[in-house]
Amino acid sequence: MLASEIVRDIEQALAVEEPARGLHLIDHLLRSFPAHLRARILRAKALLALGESDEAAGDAATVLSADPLNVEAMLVSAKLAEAQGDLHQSHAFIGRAASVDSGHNGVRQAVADSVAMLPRDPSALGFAYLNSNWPDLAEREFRTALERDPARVDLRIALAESLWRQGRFDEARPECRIVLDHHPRCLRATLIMAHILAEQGRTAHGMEMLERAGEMDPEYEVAAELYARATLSRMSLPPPPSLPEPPPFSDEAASDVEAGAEISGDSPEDVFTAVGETEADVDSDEPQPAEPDGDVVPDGGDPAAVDEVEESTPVPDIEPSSDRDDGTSDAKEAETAPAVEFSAGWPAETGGRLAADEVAEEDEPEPESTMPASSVGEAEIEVAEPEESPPEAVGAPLDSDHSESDPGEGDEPDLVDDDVAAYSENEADEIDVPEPPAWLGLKADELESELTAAGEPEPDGSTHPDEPEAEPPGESSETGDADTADAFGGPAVLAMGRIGSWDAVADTLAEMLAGGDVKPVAGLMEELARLTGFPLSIWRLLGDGYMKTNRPQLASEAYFRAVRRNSE
Amino acid sequence: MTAHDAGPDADLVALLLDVEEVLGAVAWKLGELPRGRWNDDSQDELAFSLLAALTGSLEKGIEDLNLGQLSQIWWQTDEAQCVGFRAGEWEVLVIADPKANVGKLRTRVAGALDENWHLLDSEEE
Repeated sequence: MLASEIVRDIEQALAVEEPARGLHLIDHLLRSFPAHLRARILRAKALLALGESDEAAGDAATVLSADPLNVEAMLVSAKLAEAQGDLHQSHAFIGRAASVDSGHNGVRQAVADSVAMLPRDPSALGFAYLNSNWPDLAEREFRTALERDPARVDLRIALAESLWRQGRFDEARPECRIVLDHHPRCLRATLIMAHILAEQGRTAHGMEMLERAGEMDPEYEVAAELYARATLSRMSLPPPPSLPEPPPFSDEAASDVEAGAEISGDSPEDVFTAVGETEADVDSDEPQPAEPDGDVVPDGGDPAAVDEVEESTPVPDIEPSSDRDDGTSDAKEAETAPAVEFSAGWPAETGGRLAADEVAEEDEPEPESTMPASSVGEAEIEVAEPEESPPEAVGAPLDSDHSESDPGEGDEPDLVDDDVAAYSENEADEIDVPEPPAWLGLKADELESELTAAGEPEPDGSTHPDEPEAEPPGESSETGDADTADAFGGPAVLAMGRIGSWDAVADTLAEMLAGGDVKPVAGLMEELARLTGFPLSIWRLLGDGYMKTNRPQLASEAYFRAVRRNSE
Repeated sequence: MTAHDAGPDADLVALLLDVEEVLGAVAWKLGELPRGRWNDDSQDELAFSLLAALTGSLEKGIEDLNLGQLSQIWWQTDEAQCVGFRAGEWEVLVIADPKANVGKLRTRVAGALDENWHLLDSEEE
């Protein structure tokens, strides 16, 4: 089962005001993906609905730390601030959300419900330009806004994205670095940095960062959206991992949840702060003072870091949450166990931070000391990745070799560079790794033979890019076959999209539209548009479909999306 | 979606492109795909789809405001001007040079449509 399917169920549960059921599903999702941002924000909403303000605030802050442009998290925070009587703060959140996405339904509602005014400042204009795909104009506005308020991390990310979208990677990179210095788990900065690294030929490191982003966004929806705007991209997103079906929801669990019995045990911040990220990172956009270099111990050797991990690790947070489920959840323990291990170690977090350090350190001789210190050691401790094998390209070099090859260089910024050097030197044999994942840059036709036929588009979570043989067996069907699509409908088309058979997708969509049923096709296209390589020209089909059904307003929207291709 | 395709709309577009000073034309019937073509083939035909949809959208809006049904439309930018007519279920837009005399342009387009009314009357697509 895909995480997005569970997310849909959660949203549905929350929409029908069943927050307890929603929380049950969220727990299940977070057990596999403890850093899943969408799940966290949904949990914040559910908790808010249940009156668990503190926990909701924790989740919202966690999400904002990782995604400072997350409008929904801002809105939750606004509601929480309002509930606490802090209208000024509430309006500030609403205003910021409106800057980022003034068309968001929640923002409109929030603005309508409050006395907050829509912002008319350079930041709002910058986001409007960015959303309209005018990154050069957006850059100008963000620079102006940052002059006024240099601590605004959200603006710096936006500036980085503006530069990145113009292909000015060398300028975007230091901006990302600044963000990652203070918010090492910032999703967008990580994704942009990953892309830049890959484009600059450092694909392994790019993939490393991409893997880290995958923990927060396992289906790479944000990445797909972001990379679709890239001027060019070598990045190929991995297939979405699957996870077990959620255990049945019981009323007992519901009552437990409603009583707030165990929610607080699953402290969201812990997940993100376990490796040394300060709480201030979570709570504030202000750049935080960095820990001194001297704290960095290269080879898994920072005992303090180890202790910190052991103490603050979310293991106990995860396990109690399973108690909330009924007995059937025990049966899933075996499946969820890796997730526990995963969350306990936060290998990717630490590895990711290492990557961030690495990225920051490589090109610029600037103060690497600004980077959080303890992460390196932790990364090496916890690299053993339970179920998601992709990080092996990351893990192996960090894991053992690093500690042996670089003793004593712990507090030097070159640490990572050395590690990188070791990585590349030993690439062939000494280390049993570093071939870039097979799916990196894999062409659609190569992938086609790996994926199963339309019915099962997603390989299971254990599939490793380097081991295409491990993918679910299935006849390597010709995905361009419209009959297949007819038989399987939307999933089949999505499968085609995932393997990059966009011509087949276009043909199938055209056939579907010829049947006159535009609405389901529109929904399907929204899904498809999140996939890497989605050709914007396909929107034209939807526009045609709407024109044929005499809905020119909708048609114009679809055509606009197709026209954007040309302007890009 | 090109005027090279057979059909009354293709003929209509070809006819409109022959009108003096017209740079491009698009025609569509309610519930059908717009078909358009530039005299200069280097430009994107997708523009016609978008223009048709936007015009249709404007029409709907005007109707929704109880301001009646749009029968003619004209707009001008620094790079082009557009004259549009609705004729029953058909609608046509012609794009012309901004310096073109809009009165003459309108007369010529309307004349061409009048003389070839059978194209608009056709039931076949």
